[in-house]
Amino acid sequence: MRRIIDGAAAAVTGPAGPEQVAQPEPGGRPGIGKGPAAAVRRRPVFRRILVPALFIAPAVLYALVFFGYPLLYGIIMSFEQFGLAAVVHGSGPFVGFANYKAIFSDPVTFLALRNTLVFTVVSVVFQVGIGLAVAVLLNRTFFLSGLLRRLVLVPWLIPLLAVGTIFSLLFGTSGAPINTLLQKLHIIHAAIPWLIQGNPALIAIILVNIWAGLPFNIIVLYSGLQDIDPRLHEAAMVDGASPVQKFRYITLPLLRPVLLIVIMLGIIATVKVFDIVWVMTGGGPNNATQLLSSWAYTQAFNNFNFGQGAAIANVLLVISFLLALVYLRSLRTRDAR
Amino acid sequence: MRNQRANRRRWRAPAIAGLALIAGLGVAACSSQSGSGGSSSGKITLTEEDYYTSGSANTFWNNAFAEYHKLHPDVTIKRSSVPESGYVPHLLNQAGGGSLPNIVMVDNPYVAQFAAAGALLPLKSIGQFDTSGITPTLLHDGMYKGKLYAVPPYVNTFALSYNKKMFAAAHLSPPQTWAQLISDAKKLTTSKVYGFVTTMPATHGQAFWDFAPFLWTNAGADAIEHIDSPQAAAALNVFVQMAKDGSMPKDVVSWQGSQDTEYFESGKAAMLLNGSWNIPTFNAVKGLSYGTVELPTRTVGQRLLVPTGGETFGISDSGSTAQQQAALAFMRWLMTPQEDAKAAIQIGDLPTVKSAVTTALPQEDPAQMKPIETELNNGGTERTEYAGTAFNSVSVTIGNAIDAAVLGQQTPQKALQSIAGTVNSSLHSGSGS
Repeated sequence: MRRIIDGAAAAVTGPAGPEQVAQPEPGGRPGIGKGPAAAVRRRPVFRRILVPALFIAPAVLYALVFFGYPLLYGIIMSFEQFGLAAVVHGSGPFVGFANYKAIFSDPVTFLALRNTLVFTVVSVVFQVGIGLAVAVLLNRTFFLSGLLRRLVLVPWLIPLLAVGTIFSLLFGTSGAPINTLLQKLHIIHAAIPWLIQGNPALIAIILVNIWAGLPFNIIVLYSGLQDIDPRLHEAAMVDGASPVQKFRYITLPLLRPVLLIVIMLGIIATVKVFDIVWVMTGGGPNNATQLLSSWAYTQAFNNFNFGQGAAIANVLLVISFLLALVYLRSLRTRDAR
Repeated sequence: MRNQRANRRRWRAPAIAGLALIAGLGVAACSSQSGSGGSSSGKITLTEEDYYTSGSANTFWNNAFAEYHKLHPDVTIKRSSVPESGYVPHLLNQAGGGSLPNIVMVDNPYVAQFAAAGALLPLKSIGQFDTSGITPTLLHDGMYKGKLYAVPPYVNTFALSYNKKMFAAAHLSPPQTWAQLISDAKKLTTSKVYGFVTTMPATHGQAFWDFAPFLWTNAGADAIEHIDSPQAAAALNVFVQMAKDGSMPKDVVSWQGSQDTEYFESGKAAMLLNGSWNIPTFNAVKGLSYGTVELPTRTVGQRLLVPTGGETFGISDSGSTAQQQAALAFMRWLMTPQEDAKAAIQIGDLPTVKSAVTTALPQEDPAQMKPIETELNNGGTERTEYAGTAFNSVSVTIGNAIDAAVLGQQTPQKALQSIAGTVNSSLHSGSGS
């Protein structure tokens, strides 16, 4: 029963960390008598199903209503011609794959796909890379290390909308803080048109996303590092290993499961990011920084093309779903090992 | 054995209690969604929504509803306001759930779409509504296909505000033509001051709003039907040239808030495309000495066409007939000369009731409001006049071209030509549906 409850809890709260994976319980449930009569044997089986079912019923109901229904509605919407009139009416005329044809003949969709790919890969690479470096650093004890360990949480505590707003002010072009600083340090000569040109804008939102996502990576990797027995490091040091060798042959292999989880969760979360790009650039200038999430929103709520917006969102859904499958499979192979 | 039975009883009660709780919550949730506020004992409760979350408009509407309740104690109007940036999606949510408020504020470019979707009722189908006292051209803001769906109590537009001290120091007088605007802006630009600011992101039709007077004055009110004309490119070139000269910061294409008014208030900009609603705020800023003139035209004496801004108030199809009629009665009261004048004065716009103008204008800052009034009376034009329900997507498409040209990525001619096809197909397919 504990396994079912753990599974249900995981379904509601999202992918679990390593320590939450259900352990199979040895033997059967304690307390079941080995009654000889068939009638007595039937009742425990019934109770074994009914009571757990009642326990997970609220979670299943919640998931069906708040995840399943909107999902289904969105899929249906992508096959209908859904404009403002359809919103008022509740549904629109069925048009088959017309919406999908429309979005895949729109160059902005491919731009959004490319941007999402670049955004996700670069963000995750640097989040994990920098996160690992910082976690390794914080693993030691030095003056103020305790304070620093708490300070790294700060980006996580600020709501993404506030983060986006603050950084869009910092990334202004003329006379804004970041450009002024870079110019005073003679790193650049002319002001970088951060949010008003395509490529600099994409770089800007990637930088902000990396900044916002670091705390999660640092914390999880730090706890992974803490799990490594320091005696292994000591033994290696006695054998004459350099710090680099220690890292490569002891730390990294033992950290692999945690690294895998952090990367997978990072990818799945980053692929859906919306707040940062919406607040900083709104998908502009001229759709240059559209991600699939913001492009779906633009089509739906700015252009009132809900059918196409739903189709784009479903493309994102399929991508996330495939990534989640990869993640779940990686968990299973890990368990099997 | 005894243990087992005891265990069973222990699980059963909480399980049943849990089920009952869920069932109870479900029933409560379902019943609370069915429309509230009926007319049970002759008392009518109406709901209203708008996006005036703060400022003078917020104060005005709270007072207006309270005053109406004093005159008609059996009618209570409950008001709620949602921030502007999420307002339209919020309305869409409600429209989908059939729970739009009885009185719903719709920014005038959206009237066509909400009317076409059936979310608003034609006012005359609810009851009697006399429109003879309202300025006819301004009434257009609430009309769709010849029927009145929403009432515009007040309209606004923008004119050119300029910093008097800076102009005096440079021995310049406010520009009347485009050429003068460009050269004045250049002369007034220093390392600390920009000659000209505005906000021009393509989203929400902001860039199109700024561009419209220049476009329509030179290329006609139906200019979007031939957006690649040389006259349109010449209009766009005004902004492009000022960006090239450095008189206007290129950031304007990404300014989403009130950066332009902040620059003007703090003396960092010499000229501003200034909406009439800013006038009460500017007048409260110490040390800001500014004037307002009509927008410059390409040649002296060209007829200036300006976009009419301002919110309209419609009646949604949700609610009972009694509620709809009560809502219409409120509109009739609102559009009497005294009430309309009050609204315009507090909010800083031009009243649409003809006889209210003479009372209202002297009480608003006449020096700054006169150019606004003249612009609206002589050339106030509804943005959806030629675009209809396609306006949202068309204004953003044109806005993207404007931004591309201002940033120097394309010449004005090229930028407008590249989107002309998209604009035309949007206009003729009746898209947005």
